[in-house]
Amino acid sequence: MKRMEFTVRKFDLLQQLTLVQGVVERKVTLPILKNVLLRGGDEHLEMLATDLEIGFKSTCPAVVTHGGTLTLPAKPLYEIVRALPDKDVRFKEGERHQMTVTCGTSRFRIAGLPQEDFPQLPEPKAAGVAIPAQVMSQLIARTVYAISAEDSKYTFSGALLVLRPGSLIMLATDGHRLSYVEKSGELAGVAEESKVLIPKKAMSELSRILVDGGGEGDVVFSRHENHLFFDMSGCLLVSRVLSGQFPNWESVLPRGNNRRFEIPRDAVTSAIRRVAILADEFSKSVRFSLGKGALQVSASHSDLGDASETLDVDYDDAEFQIGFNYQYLVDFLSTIPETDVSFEFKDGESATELRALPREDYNHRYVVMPMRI
Amino acid sequence: MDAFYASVEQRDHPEWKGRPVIVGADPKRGAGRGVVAACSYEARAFGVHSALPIGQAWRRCPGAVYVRPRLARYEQVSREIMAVFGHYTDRIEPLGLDEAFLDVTGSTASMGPPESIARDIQRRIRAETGLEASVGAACNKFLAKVASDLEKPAGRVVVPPDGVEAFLGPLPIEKLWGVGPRTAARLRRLGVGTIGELAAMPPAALDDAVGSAGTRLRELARGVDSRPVVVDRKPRSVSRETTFSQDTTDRDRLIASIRRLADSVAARLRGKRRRARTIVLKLRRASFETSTRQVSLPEPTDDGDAIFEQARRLFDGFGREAPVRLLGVSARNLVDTGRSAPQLGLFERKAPDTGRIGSALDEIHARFGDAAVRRASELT
Repeated sequence: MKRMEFTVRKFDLLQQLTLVQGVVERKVTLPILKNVLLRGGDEHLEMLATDLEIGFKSTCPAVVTHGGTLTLPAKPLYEIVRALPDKDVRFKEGERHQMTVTCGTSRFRIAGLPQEDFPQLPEPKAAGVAIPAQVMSQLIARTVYAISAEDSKYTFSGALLVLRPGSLIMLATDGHRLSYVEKSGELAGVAEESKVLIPKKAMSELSRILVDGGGEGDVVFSRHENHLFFDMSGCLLVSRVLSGQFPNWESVLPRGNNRRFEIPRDAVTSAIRRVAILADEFSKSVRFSLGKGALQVSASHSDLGDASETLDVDYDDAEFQIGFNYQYLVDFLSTIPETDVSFEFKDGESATELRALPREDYNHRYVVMPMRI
Repeated sequence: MDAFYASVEQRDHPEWKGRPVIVGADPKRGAGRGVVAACSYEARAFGVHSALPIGQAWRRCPGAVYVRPRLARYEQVSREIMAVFGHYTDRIEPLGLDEAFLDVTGSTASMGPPESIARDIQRRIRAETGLEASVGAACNKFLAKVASDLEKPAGRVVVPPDGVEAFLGPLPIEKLWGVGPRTAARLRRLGVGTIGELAAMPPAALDDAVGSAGTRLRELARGVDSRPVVVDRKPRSVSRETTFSQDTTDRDRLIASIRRLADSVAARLRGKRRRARTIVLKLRRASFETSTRQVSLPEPTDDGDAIFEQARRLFDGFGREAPVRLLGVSARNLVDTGRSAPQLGLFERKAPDTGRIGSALDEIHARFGDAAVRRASELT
């Protein structure tokens, strides 16, 4: 029997292995999950990794002398390839699942495992919806930070994707704040509303892959049974569907928040960041004091002292104060590309809404609950 | 402070002045199961002392006034006393509600020698709170503490730096920290009954008698104690527990007592301007087998309802069968209230501002007693 043998360019291989690293878990119960599966096909090399929650398949061009399949430990392989000179890398399978890797004058022999134990990666079955990569990337970047780190009574660690005829909505919440972003536009293949929960890890891996791809092309999204498929020319991310009920977000989008002002994003972001240096490191609370024509942002620390900064704003309503976890504000302000932002309040204890302005491509609403001060 | 809880009760109830007053568990005509928390000097004459089982106190002094502790009230008076100390120095290390170390090193230039500062503090506490305090003044914490205990009540003992030996020498060895009844008995068998005699022992003989504690005892016996006054010693936990008059499996009764303990822990936290991140439930079976369970909260709390809710869940985690002798609720992992502005939630139903209810209750309890406002669930 002929054993696998192929040659790839270091650069091509490294690019794919870098993406694979994100999927491979450091601590796994099944040793084989630390491995990446290499499959030499027709003029290309296929790579597969999975942590059983999400799986990733990518390909890179290769000169394949003999096809075959073998799994190799992902991290050492990545480190070896990264350290190699930018030349052709030759892989040749030897005895007992060992792989010899040669590049220039370097030679490595890596112990692999047979492919039989490697979990199967499901394949997309249904026709998908093509979402421009650029749009998908924006939807994720504008919501992923608001996904809660752990499941609780009201939250779970994933985002909600709502496909509607005429619009695409992504939502995430950790129970304290909620990020809602909507992109209008028709998508081929969306005839009725459908909703799906995407796990946080799938969101962040998807985002990495899209950034790496430079936002070109489309992400073809489909669902089959308990799996979500994100097909990006040449690579495929598979994720389990997150089960659970996304909280009733429509009921928490504020209505009647009549006290408002608009402000350049950079001005308010840097004021918050400066003042936050003297915010309490545990509560992270900063105070907004609104008066006619002025917003004062302040913070105090029981040991260090206090800080405040006053900004001119076009505000003409009653004076009041409200406290926030500054991190929640900065998360939103530092990820939107829009130049301006509006703040809309009801009172010091109700949900406050921030909106990215001008509202052109994306309708991005961010709802934050205050801290009691 | 002298017989602090009992003195506060006598001051608040002038008709009890001159009578034995015992603060603690319900004596139930001798059948009560708790202990004495504090007692007036009149009660001490009957052999009653703190930590004595309440049933024994009843047998020794059945004619005393027996009252339940009103901790919120004592905490309020404690704050008044600590405020008096604040006039003399900002280097204050409280030891409980009614006792504190004051470092007046920096105050003598403007306020006179320690002797007169000590007298001033006593006068001022008497004038502002109507209570008696005993003061000890010395060059370190150990000596000051021994001196303050020496002439209670209303005592004032100043130990000059050159009089340490003369002061300590004749005192019994039990005055030394770390000498309990067993160590004392062992030393007495060696003919050592006073601190002076202990200081004169050959080091090897002392080490033979008390082991590794010898070095420390020898230093104390010579009046050496280099621990500084630690300002801002914050409590690490707040706990309350209750022993049932009869071991019980009655769930309603157990839950009701968890409710009371939780409210009491919450009030104590608010009094100290602290909030807890961890709630612990302690449960002792009739067999004296004791176990604890704890839970950490996403947001620190000083709210009785929130603490009760967690403690009740912890309670549900214990088996139901065996009768319960004692329940305790404690709050740990404390943070300053000012540093834990609560983050409001998007999806929770709007909760009433329990913080304001809590502080209003604290004030009412302090002024009118713990029974002035109670939960409807307690009115059975």
